[in-house]
Parts: sequence; C-alpha cells; structure tokens
Amino acid sequence: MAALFRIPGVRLIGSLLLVIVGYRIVYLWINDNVDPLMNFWIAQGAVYATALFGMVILVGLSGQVSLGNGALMAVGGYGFGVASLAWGLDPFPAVVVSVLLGIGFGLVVGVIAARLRGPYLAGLTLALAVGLPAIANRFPAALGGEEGLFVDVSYPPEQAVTAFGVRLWGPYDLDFPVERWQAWLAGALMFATLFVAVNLARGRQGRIWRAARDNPVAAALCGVNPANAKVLAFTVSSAAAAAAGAAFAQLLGVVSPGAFALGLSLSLLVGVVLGGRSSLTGAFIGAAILVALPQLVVQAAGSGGWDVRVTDNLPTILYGLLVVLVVILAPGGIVGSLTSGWRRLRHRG
Amino acid sequence: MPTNPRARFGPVQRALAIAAGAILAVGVVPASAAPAPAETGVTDKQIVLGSTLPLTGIASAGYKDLAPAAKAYFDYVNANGGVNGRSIVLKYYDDEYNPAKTPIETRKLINADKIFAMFQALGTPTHSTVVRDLNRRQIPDLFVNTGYSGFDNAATYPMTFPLFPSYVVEAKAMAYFIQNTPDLASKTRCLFYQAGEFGDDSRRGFADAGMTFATTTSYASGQQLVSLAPQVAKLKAANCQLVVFFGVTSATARLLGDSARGAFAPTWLVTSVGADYDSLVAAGVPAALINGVNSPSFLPPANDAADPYVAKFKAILSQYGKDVPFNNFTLSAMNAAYLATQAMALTGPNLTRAGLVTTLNTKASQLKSAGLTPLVYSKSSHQGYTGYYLGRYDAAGNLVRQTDFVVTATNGPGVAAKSTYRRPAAPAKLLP
Amino acid sequence: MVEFGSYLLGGVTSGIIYALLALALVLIYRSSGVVNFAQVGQATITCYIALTVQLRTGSWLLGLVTALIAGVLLGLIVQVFVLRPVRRSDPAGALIASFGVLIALQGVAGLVWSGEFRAFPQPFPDTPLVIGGAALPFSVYNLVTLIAAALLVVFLAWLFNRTDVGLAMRASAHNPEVARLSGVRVGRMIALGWGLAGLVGALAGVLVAPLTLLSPTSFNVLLVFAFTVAVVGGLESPVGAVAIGIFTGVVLSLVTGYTDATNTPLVALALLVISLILKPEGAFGHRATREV
Repeated sequence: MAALFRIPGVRLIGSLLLVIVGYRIVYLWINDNVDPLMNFWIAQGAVYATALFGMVILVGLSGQVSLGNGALMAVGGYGFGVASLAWGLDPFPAVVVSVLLGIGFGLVVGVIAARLRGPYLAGLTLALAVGLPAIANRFPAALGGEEGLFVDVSYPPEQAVTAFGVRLWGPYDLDFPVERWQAWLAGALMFATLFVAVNLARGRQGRIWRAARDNPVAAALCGVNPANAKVLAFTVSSAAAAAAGAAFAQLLGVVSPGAFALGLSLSLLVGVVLGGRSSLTGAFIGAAILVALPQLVVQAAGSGGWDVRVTDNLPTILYGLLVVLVVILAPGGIVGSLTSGWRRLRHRG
Repeated sequence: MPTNPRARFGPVQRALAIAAGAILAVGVVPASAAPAPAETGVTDKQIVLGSTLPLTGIASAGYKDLAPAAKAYFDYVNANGGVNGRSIVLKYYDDEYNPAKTPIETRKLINADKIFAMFQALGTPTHSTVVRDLNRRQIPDLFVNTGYSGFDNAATYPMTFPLFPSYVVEAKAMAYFIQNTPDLASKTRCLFYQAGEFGDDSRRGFADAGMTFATTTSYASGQQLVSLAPQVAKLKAANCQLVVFFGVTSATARLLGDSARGAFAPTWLVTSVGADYDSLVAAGVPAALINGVNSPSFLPPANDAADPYVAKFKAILSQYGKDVPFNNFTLSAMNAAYLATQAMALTGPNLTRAGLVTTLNTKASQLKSAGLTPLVYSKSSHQGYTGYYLGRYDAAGNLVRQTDFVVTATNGPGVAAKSTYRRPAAPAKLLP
Repeated sequence: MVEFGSYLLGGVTSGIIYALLALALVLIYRSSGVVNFAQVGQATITCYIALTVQLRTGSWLLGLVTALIAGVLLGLIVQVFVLRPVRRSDPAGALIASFGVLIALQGVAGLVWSGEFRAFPQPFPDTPLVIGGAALPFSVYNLVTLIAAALLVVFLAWLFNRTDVGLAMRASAHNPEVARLSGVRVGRMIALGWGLAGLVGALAGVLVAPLTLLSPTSFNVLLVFAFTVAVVGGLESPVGAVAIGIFTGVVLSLVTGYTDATNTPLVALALLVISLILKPEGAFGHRATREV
C-alpha cells in the first residue's frame, strides 16, 4: 500500500482522491454539524494548517528555520486584498494572484536565504516578519495603512460566488452562518495546499530536500544542487503562506499590518515544532494546538477565581511554559513522539 | 516491509488520520436549534454586553482597567435594581490589541456568550476587523473606544456608535484654539503624529481648518519604545516653537523625555488620548516637563473632585471596583457605562437591539453624562461627543481649563466653532 | 549642517540602545552557539528587580548590583533547566524554547509588577551636553551609555581573545567535541557564558531602561532591532554589534530627518538584505569554513 503510494501516478491520483474525500465528505460534514463558533475555529485552524504545510517543507524537510512566514502570509493577504479590491477580481482568481505573488516573493527571498547559515536566516526572516507588514504604512493609499484593506468579498448571503464566471455557491439566505462559509473556503485552500505538499514531500523532491538538508556535500555529489533545493523549499513555503494569507484575509475581513505581526510568525514556528516538524500530519496537530491552546489556558487561568492580575497574566505564563515543556519532552513534536513511542511498543511486543 | 518508517502511512491511513485529527482537534459539537428568544442576550433577569480590549501586552497600560471600571458601574446599577429589573453582565476578553485576535474573541462573545450588544470595544485596527460583521448581524456596537473618525458612518455602520470626539474634530478644535490664543498663534508650528489613524484624521482636520505647519514628522506605533530622538532632532532642527502631537501616552512620555535630553523645549499641544497626567508620571516624566503642556479634553479631569459627576463615579468605583484605580481612563469607561445604562433604560422593558439603536438615534440629547460637549446621534450621524475645551497642566498636575467654552465641529468638512452648550446638572445617584 | 549634526546625534542616542542589547545576544551566541530570545525577558525581569530594590533602598547602585546578580542567576537557570536539555536536538528547538521562556517571563513580569509603563530612574539628574555654549541634542546620560558600550566591547574583546577562559568558551561553543577532548569542561564553560551574558544583558537593561519605557513587553521591539543589528554585524562580533548598532541608528535618524519616519522600515530592511547579500556572515563576521 505504502509502496504503491511511491509510484508517481498512483500518488497523484491517490492524493487527489484523498483530498476530495477529505474535503467534500469529512471536512464539509463536520462543518455542517458544528456550531458557528466551532466553524470559526476550524477555519482558523485550516488557515494555520495551510501555512504549516509550507513550514513543514521549509523547516522540517529543507532545514531552514524561518521566523517570518507570517510576513509571507501578509504578502498573500495583501495580494488577495489588492486583487479583489483594486482589480475587482472574484475570490478564486484573487487567491491565484496572491499565490503567484507568494511564489515570486518566495523566490527572491529564497535566493538570498539559501546562502545564509541558521541564525543569520533567522535574523533575516525576523526582520521580514516585522518590517514587511510595516511597509503598508508607507503606502496608505494602495495598502490601507494601519487600518488596512477591507477585503470583504465573500459573504455568502449577499452575493453568489463565482470562479472564472462559473457560479459555485450561493446566494444563501440570511440564516446561513458566515463562519460555516469561511470554514468552507479556508478548508478548500487547505486541502488544495495539502495536495501539492503531499506530492512534493513524498516524491522525488522530498528525498532531494532531505538529502540536501542532511548532507549537502553527498547530495551535491549525487547531482543535487543543495542551494536550488533550498530556494525551491522557500518558494513552496511562501506559496503555501500566501494561500493561508488569502484565507486569513477573508476570515478576518481585513488585511492590516497588525494582523500579520511578529506574533503570527512566531506562532507558526511554535506550531510546526510542537506538531512535528517533518510531518504533514503534524501540521494538522500544530494547527489544532495553535487554535486550542490559547483558549484552554485562558479557561484554566480564569477558573480559579483569582485576582485580575493573575487571570490576565497566567495564560501567558502557561503558554510559554507549555512551549518549553513540549520542546524539552517531545523534541520531535507530538507526531515524532507518537511515532517513536509506537515503534518502541511494537519492538517490545 | 517498507524500511522507511514514514512510508508506513498510506493514503487510507492518512485519510483516517486526517479525519481523526480534524475531529479530535475540533470536537464535534452539534448545531443547536434552540427556540429564538425575544432578543439575543436579554432575558427576564439579565442583559449581556461584551467587550474586547488589551488586558496584557504592550497596549494594556492604562486600558486594561477600562472593562473592570465599567463592570464596577454596572454592578452598582445592578445593586440598585438594574435596568427595568434586569441586571447587566459585562463579558470581556483580552485581544492584546492584536487585530488577528479581535475577531476570535468577538466571535466568542457573539456565539458563545450570546451578547446583546458590544460595549466599548477598544482600538481602531482591532475593531476594524469586526465592525462590518457586527453591523451585518445587527448587533449594537456601543461607544467604540477610539477617536478614529471612520466608525462614524451611520449609512455603512448603522449599529456602530463611537463615543469620543474624533481626531478630526480634535484637530479642528486645536486649530481654533491656536488661532484664537495669541501666544500660540505667534509661534512656529510643527505637527508630529503616529502613522495611521492619528495621522490621517489629524491632517484632515487641520487641512479643513486651513492650518499649515513648518514641518511635519511621524513615528510608527511601537517606535516610542525604541527612541524618538531622531524625530526630536528633526523638530529641533526646524526651530519648532509649538509642537502639536497626536500619539498615544507612552509616545508622549518618550517625546517629553527625549526632548529634555535633546535640549528641545517647545510649547506642547498634545491630543487628549496622549496626555493622561497619571500615566505620564508613572512612565517617568518629571512633573516639571508636564507643567504647561496644553491638551484639549471633553471630560472633566479625574482629579477634579469638585465636579459632581467625577465625585460620584469615584465613590462608586471605590465601593464596587476592588483594586481598580480611578483615573481619566476609568472615569471615561464609567461614563460610557452610565450612558449605555440610560439608553437601555430609555428603550423600555421590551429591550431589543433595534429599539436600542432607535433610542440612541432619537433620544441622545436626553442622555446625561459627565461630557462637557453635546452628544450627537441621529439616523444620519453617529458622531458622539462633538467638541473640546482647551486645558493646560499646571505644576500640580491639574488640567486647568483655558477656555470656559467648548468648540464643536463635525467629522465632515468645515471648521470648529464656539458652542454655548452647558452640561445638564448631575443627578444625585447617577442611575438611569 | 546644524541639521545634519542634530540628526547624527539623535541617531547615535538610539543606536546605542540597539548596540547594548545586541552585545548581550552576541555574547551568548559566541559562548554557546544559540540565539537567546529570552535575553530581553531576562533583562526585563532584572530591570524590575533593580527598580524594586531602588524604590526600597533609594540606591541606584544597590539596584544595579542586585540586577547584575539576578541576571547571572537567571542566565544560569535558563541554561540549566531549559537550554541544556534542548540544546542537543537542534537550533530550531533551542530558538523556540527560548521564545517560550520569553513569553513566560513576560507573564511573570506582568503578574508581579503589572502591565503599566514604569519609570526607571537614572543614576543622576540628566542634562543636555553643552559645548561652546550650545546645548547639543545629546545628554550626559547618553554619553555615559556610549562609554559603557565601548568599555563592554573592550572587555569582551580582552576576554575572548586574551584569556584562557575566553578561548575555552569559544571552543566549547564552536566545537564541543574537540573542546572536550582537549580537556575543556564544556558544560561549565557554556554555563559560564550564559551567566556572563545574563550579566551583560542585565547591565544593558539597566542602562537602557531610563531611556525607554519599562513594561513587561516593551523590550520586545528592541529585541528585533538588536537581533537584526547583531546579524548584520556578524553574530560573533561585539565590535560589529556596537558599530552596526550606531550606524543603523544614524541612518534611520537621517532617513527620519530628511524624509519621513514611515520610510524607516523599508530602509532598515533594505540595509539588512543588501548586507546579507554582500556579507552572508555579517559585516564583521568571519566566513565559516565549509562544513564537510
């Protein structure tokens, strides 16, 4: 079964079936059966997962630690915003524009990044995370400045949604919860990104990335150009981040510098490390953690009947400590720990 | 047997894992189909209001006490019979002033807490992410805590009611005060603003008033934590004698400190948002540097014990707000809570969202508050407070009124004009 | 010309702030091979401790001494309990763990000292420098921080280049296995490096705090600048940290003065990108030998 999945044609069709079944049957079924708040969280998780697929390829497979993928999301978000507002594109072509922009941007940054050692790359991406969204303040007329661009193009009750002239959904009545709609859109982008990521990560390219990461000299001897492999990984992760940024834009209804601040970039790094950095399944778990953890710690902190100062700050402390604990106790992330635990169990039995 | 451990995951396992992961991650909750109540967030016993504000993080200084102060006022109302027999519950969440978090916390308020209305959600970039959604859901969005003029848009945001006079109005009022105060009018003027809504609004207001500046400079939000020395150098090099400043309090603190170090001592005219005396002192600005700073205001200062509204709010807070300090911020929050309570009471026992909006649009002039300028809400304008008086800090930190009148202006075109408005006398108990 | 001088000095005052915090990052990277995000969190906590001591005793010096001791202890605690268990796995884990520590420390600061901006006193009343009867946009305290940064650079250069301990620390960070074989007690050297970095971080914090606003998170903005400066300067170079820190401050001040502050993020990014294209190992860094 697993061996079959390595054959390119089988993998392509198999993964296509996987995402169609996963999206159309499983994902949309869940969407239809949960309340709006849960759908909002699912949509948020889907946005994170989309960006985390890119992080798995960048950080896990190609070994480049990025503190700036939130800024790459901003590139996608602003691409989506400008394409839909200034150019009047429908949401789906606008997503295509933002992904293309992400690819172009990722290529440029990737070429610079490929020459840098770990902490220098971290420095570059950290500066991008802070500096890139701030550029919107420089061009308030085009990019909306501090308040941002209102990219409110996809509310189902008010308009039908068309892709390249074909009506796909809507219009819906006023009772249709917007959260369900946002979860549909974010999910569609997540599964589309997953399809690309699975085919890249589990095929020849995945092996090239791992080889270039683990032993660049040996890889070069085998005819692999490690620098090119790094640039491609950066470009793919930037495209995934751009798709996530577009989904994030329609989820927030606005693209503004504050929404893509440093915290977002750092969250993505936390998500990919906690989930398991070289596993696409880990990206799902990382996304779930990023959505659920802040809510859980707020609940935990708020349930003690403590002083305001405690309930305000305890979630921050808990979140920080949890990040530290998982990194120490499960360095391979949750998926890594589960995999190695399972292997140990099997060997014992 | 595959040797690569990762290859053990075939497509079927992957599908199952993804599905299981998704279900585990989100926990399936069936959609509820409860019968619709008369109005969301209103029962026989209570009214639920919601708010988002920074309780932690860089923007929380000063602002984190707002919701607790408003809650203290609501508790006072509840202890005195509530609003038509209903007690007011204020739910509020920490959005850290992060526009990516505000929609999450607001969705919780809407979907889980089932709020009747929003109350004093804080911040322009933050509230921008939810204002359209709130209006589309027709949830009243009361007294947004920002001076950004863009939320005063009764046509697009019929449910949204800003409270504070906007930075546009403040700039127009400042222009009026500068033009009509000889020792200010004669000085070389410069404008220094925070990039974003402060800059957009203030420049529009000054442009409408026909006021120009010798030089203009800006800072990006957050830069005040690094250094404003470069901006001070620029203002000093331009020989500015009067600097008009539109920014947050932490930036004012930094500006005054960096100016003193940089041998720059102009006359200051600082936006009311950035000139809270207690916060400036707490942030390390020597009282001597604050002495003489000009600042417009529309509320009496919190240290004005002679003002009947201030005295009563202070008494209420000391009784109902454990550990919540009484200052200009908390005074303004309690004042907003007082206004909201009156509006809900005026709407009557059959409290609905539409009814509350109608009350505000038609009966704003009946609402009493500590505000010293008129409160304007109508079907066509949601301006809120409309003007300012000019104050100047003395050596003891009191904001001394320089004008015994207020000047008012609108968010539309036009200049500020003197107003004859007199605030109504304060009711003894400050209850609806 | 008066304008230019004014912008120049304005830039130096902000540049020293970047430089001082960048120094602490450089020190830790040099002695343990990781970038420690928690550094600014540790500096925040030590500043609050110094503030508390000052308010109790009225002595700035006592506050400083307490902060330095607390800085060393915090550095050791973070190294022993967080980074030592993580260190082996990989740098990404170390980076994220230090980020986790930063978040937790900020929460602790908020819990203990509240989120309000606090004034951090300086050791003496500050006045602008006067030269030839003209008051400069540069104060006595600005001069003190500049001298402190210079002294720190000299001290670190002496430590790393002229002492056995410094050599052992560099060896431990650069190649622990070889260092161990040569008889260096690597664990102890790395701990020493963290303690020392904690000390320098605490000193930098206490020096910078009167110039900025103290709150649990206010050093975060500085972290980004300091890290960027350290990267451009070369993560292993104290001279680079100070030189690039002041250079960056001056350039951004000139941009603010002659154009507008909204251009500064663009210029800062451009500086970083150009510098990394030309010198991927930092302006004052040494090209690493190719790892085989």
